Amino acid sequence: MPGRNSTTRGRDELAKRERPQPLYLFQMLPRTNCKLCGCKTCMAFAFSLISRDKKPEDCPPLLEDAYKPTLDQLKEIFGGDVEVNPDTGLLIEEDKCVGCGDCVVVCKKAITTMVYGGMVVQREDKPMVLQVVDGTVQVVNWRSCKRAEDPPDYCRVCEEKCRFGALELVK
Amino acid sequence: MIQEKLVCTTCACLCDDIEVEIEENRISKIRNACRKGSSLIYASQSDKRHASYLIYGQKVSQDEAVEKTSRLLNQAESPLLFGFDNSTLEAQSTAIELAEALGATIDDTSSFRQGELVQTILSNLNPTCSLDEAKDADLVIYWGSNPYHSHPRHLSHFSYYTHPKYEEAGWFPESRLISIEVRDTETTEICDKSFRFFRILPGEDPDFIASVLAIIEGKKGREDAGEFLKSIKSSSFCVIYAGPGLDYSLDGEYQTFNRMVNRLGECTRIAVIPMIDPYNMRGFNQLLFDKTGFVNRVNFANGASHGLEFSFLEQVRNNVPDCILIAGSDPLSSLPDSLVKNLGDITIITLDPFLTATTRISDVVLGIAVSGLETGGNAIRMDGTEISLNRVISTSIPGDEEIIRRLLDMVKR
Amino acid sequence: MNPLGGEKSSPIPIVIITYKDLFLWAARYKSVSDVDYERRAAQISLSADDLKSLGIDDSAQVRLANEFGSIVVQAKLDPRCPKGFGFMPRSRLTNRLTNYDPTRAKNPNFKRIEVTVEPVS
Repeated sequence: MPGRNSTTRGRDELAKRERPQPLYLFQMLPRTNCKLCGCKTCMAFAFSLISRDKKPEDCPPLLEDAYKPTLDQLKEIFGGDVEVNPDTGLLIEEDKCVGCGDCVVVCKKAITTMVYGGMVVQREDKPMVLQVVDGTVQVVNWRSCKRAEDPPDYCRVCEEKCRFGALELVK
Repeated sequence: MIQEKLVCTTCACLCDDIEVEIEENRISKIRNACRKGSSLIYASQSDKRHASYLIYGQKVSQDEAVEKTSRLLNQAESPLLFGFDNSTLEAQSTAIELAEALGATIDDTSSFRQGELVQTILSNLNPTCSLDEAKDADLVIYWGSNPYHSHPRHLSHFSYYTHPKYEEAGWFPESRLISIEVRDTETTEICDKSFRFFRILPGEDPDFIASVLAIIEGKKGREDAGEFLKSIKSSSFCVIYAGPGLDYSLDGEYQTFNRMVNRLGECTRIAVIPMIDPYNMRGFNQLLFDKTGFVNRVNFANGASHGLEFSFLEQVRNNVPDCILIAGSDPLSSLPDSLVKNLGDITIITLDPFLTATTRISDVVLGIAVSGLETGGNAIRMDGTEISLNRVISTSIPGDEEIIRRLLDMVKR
Repeated sequence: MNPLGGEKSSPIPIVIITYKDLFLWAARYKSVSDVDYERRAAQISLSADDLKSLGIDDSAQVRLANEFGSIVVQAKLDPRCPKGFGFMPRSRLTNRLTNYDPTRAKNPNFKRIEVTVEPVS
């Protein structure tokens, strides 16, 4: 493994790529476990926000005036009409994608190789999961994704390699 | 619906794996092109696309516009031809012939962006290699360049991610990545994760290079320069992708950089590839170099002379030309306002597929086809490899080669 | 507002370094007078020290001026920006401040634009 040195996140845009953490979101919520949203606990609601199964306004107490700043903040994090691919749990924010194709090539490597006994072993070729279409990345063959295998392999290489925060695996 | 392969002419990567779907002579889907490439391809079929002939803002026929242009060029005492970095080799070659026939000055954007570096490479003062060879490099260095914004597919299609071997299953190529940069970028972030980001202060590149040389010669130098040298020495094949950040910091003075590269070449295989922006700047440089020994800033009034005074910047600053033919470049949007205000007093003729700030102030506008999309031809990629362009869309709009050829014939008469 | 005392801060000198921004480039090809283009172009990253000297917070409006022109842009905090420098995407806006002076350099000063910066009240 090559040596790696760390850096403090710099500009705003870089900082925005941090993923929302469940505990951080939980602390923003009313923490009353009122169940009005349909979730058993506020922590469960935080997880549902991340998986995009719930929206911030699904929490009735957040609609009260006292929680308006919190609601606005959550809307900023989870706002915008984004569609989660139901099969892979992959959320693609097209506005952020530059179509560099890094995710496409690392995903292709990932689905055609596996680590076996500490060695990288070649597997059979498969159609690629992702492709850049009209300048932004799209899922074109979800069945090739390691997450579609039985049992699923919860690979995150596409999300990890995106430098623009355009890809998020929410499931 | 027809499917075609396309070479993208948005930047000097000239990505040749672009697939397009065409319905009724219009592109309806683009696969593999980045956001930059797709924007340009779709913009070429937008209603806002400018493809007509104008004299003083009035629509005229192609013949009228070409005749007026040839008259203006013939009458000019000191004509200047500028641009051609977004033209095919065939159009560039004709433009150089036109400059010769007119005894004009000819220059391109390389005269204020990386021209000196290309000159050193064409003169064999710096070692280089093709992008295909560069895939085997075990050390990739981006110096003063953030490819994610200038050449988005550079890492995935040509460099870091194309290394034949990967460690872990698809996570890290067996190649190390270094960035020398003045600020945090998407590229420096990935360098931090995969190897090293050398953050230097703006304008510090000459000092960094001098330090590397000093350490090679057994003297003391900066700590970061020492680490940089150690990384290069431990590699077996290192490619430096030199960007505009380095060029501006050195102000085009590459002597010390060349010395450093050549000394480094004594301990490992090293190559320099310029991160050129316009798709065929290197083509223009190559053609003019083959003819005159210089990549830009040439005057054909008495044979071929070369000098800083023939740069577009100096010509415009000193109000030398009385007529400028600009092809595929928009100096009004890309150069200092304090300089381009001088263009107001000069007769301007523009060849461009798009409506730009420069076409708006032009006396004559010749709308042309988009090369690599509506016309074929050849171009030279940033690494010096010649690539053939496909024509996928048919149009009645002529390409720049055809217009320049007509001008050349009329000027010769 | 100036947290240091209420008096208006005096302009401070900084050097702007411009860089290419892909989103700005793409916006330019969408339309010549796009609002998105203007918004993306009108921002400068500054160091925490310089924001403090100016008595402003992140996202405040600042005026950048030199002998060639003056523009108003949004200041953004960049914790890793060195003091005395500012990073801006290269655009038609920065062209108003850039210059070509062959006695100083062969190239235009895209990576070395000397300006003063002051808060816009």
